[in-house]
Amino acid sequence: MMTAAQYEESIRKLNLQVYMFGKRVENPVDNPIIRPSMQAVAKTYELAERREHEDIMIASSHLTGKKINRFTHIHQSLEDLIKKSKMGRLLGRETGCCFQRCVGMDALNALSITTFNIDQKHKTSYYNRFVKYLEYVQNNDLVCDGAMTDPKGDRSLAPHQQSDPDMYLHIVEERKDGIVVRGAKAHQTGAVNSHEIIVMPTIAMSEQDKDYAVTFSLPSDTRGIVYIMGRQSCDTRKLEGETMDRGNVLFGGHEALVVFDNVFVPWERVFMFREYEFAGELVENFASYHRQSYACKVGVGDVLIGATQLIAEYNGAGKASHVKDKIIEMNHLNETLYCGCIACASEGSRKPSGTFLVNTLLANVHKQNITRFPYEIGRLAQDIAGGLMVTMPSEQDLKAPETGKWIKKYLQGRADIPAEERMRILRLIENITLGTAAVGYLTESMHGAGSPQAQRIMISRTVNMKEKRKAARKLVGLEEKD
Amino acid sequence: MRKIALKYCGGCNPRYDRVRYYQRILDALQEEVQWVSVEDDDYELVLLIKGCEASCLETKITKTSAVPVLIIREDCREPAEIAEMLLAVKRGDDY
Repeated sequence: MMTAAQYEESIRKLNLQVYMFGKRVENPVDNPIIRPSMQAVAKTYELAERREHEDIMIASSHLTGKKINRFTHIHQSLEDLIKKSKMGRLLGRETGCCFQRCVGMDALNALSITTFNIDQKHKTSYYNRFVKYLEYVQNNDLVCDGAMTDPKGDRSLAPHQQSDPDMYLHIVEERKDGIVVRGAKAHQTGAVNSHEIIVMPTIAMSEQDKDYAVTFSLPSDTRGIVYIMGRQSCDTRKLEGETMDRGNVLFGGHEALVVFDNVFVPWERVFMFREYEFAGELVENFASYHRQSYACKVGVGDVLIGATQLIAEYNGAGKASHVKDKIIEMNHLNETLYCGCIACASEGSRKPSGTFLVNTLLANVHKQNITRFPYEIGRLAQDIAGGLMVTMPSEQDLKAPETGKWIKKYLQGRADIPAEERMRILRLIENITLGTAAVGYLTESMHGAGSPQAQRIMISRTVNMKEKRKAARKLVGLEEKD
Repeated sequence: MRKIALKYCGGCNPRYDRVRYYQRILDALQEEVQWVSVEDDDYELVLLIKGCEASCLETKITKTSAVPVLIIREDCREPAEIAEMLLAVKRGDDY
């Protein structure tokens, strides 16, 4: 396994084509806007090095028997699925943001199921290819970006009906040694911190869409792959030199629009090629795993609740009954989220390939809660924090002799807490609820791993209404009907 | 010198600082102890430090261990007391 320092060096060696603010970023690792996100991924390596977290962070490879980082593991039991949820909470709490590595783990697990199933039907050899690739990922302890979401163009049209065929990533050429693909993947979390990119289709497909039914993996610095960094609210605070106004002084996340400009993929890296009838299965399984992965928001919730409790105390309002009650409500919501991610793991099942998959219904219920509860937790945090969170002056003003004395005097809360400590906690709440980390804690909670309606469709498809109807009829003395 | 295997639970949501508590136990030990991993051979005792009441790791360790397992679930006991127990437990003792 790699150490955190080795991970950083390995990313430094990549020759990625990254653009931000209209310019090429030659050194993403040391770019002040991107670096906190690299540090968050590095935490997934650092915790695996620590004895007090190894039981969660390290797994045993079912391929080689070697110790591997859990982020490269294929779930072999319910215990593995549960540990995945727990790992998400742990890392969310340690970083206070999105640590970006779950999406690759979810892609690997979904592929381990679907490549096997395609082979069963078509007598292909995708599973063996995939296993070789997986072994490479595990042995080298790599970060994979799981790239699913296409730009999608006109949502009322199927991929093959789009006026611009590139609105969904597709095969443009078939060669003896591989294929050429073109298109883009949007909202790619942690793409620039990844060694590999795993591309999957984004929706179920028909035969007419078969050129869009393609899955493959590539080194992230493959020729023709271009990364255009997404903006985050308050992102340029990271350029100010001072760190307090960032809120989270250590970690962050990032997203990018990833363009595939006629990119060559060798056959040994292709895991689905026009088997359109398996696109839907892959999407559903990946989505279920990834909806479970929102366990991380419970960890970020832990941080936000802790910060809210602290600011209540610093304001001298910690003992007010309504404040206590709001903190209870925040905890109630956060632990309800935890229940969901543990439940969908505990009720998982073994698939024909041997991989364990979460319970799809419960994973969707969990994610549906995630689209709502962090917003309410954030609202309560802002309620308790007070308006100062968005009106207080900058760190530069705190440090300037002309203004610092006034800020220290008038932004003092409780007498034994320096104004700066109060300001730092307020900045952290601001960061999570409307700054750079709100991308992960709020809007990503809404739309990541599928927008709310996607979960509602899955809930309606997977819930057993027939048995519910039967149960009701039985209790009123009516005959059971099939 | 006693040979003791140290094992932490994964620490997903610990109720106390397990590493700091372990350090306090170390500080309180009156004799030198050789600390090893549960994957090593030939130790006399396992010290399992858990972050909460959940038995996720406990069952696995206690079922498979051939030696006594001393389990810490919280930090309310004096570390000196734990240190004393670590030195007193003998093979065959049931914990």
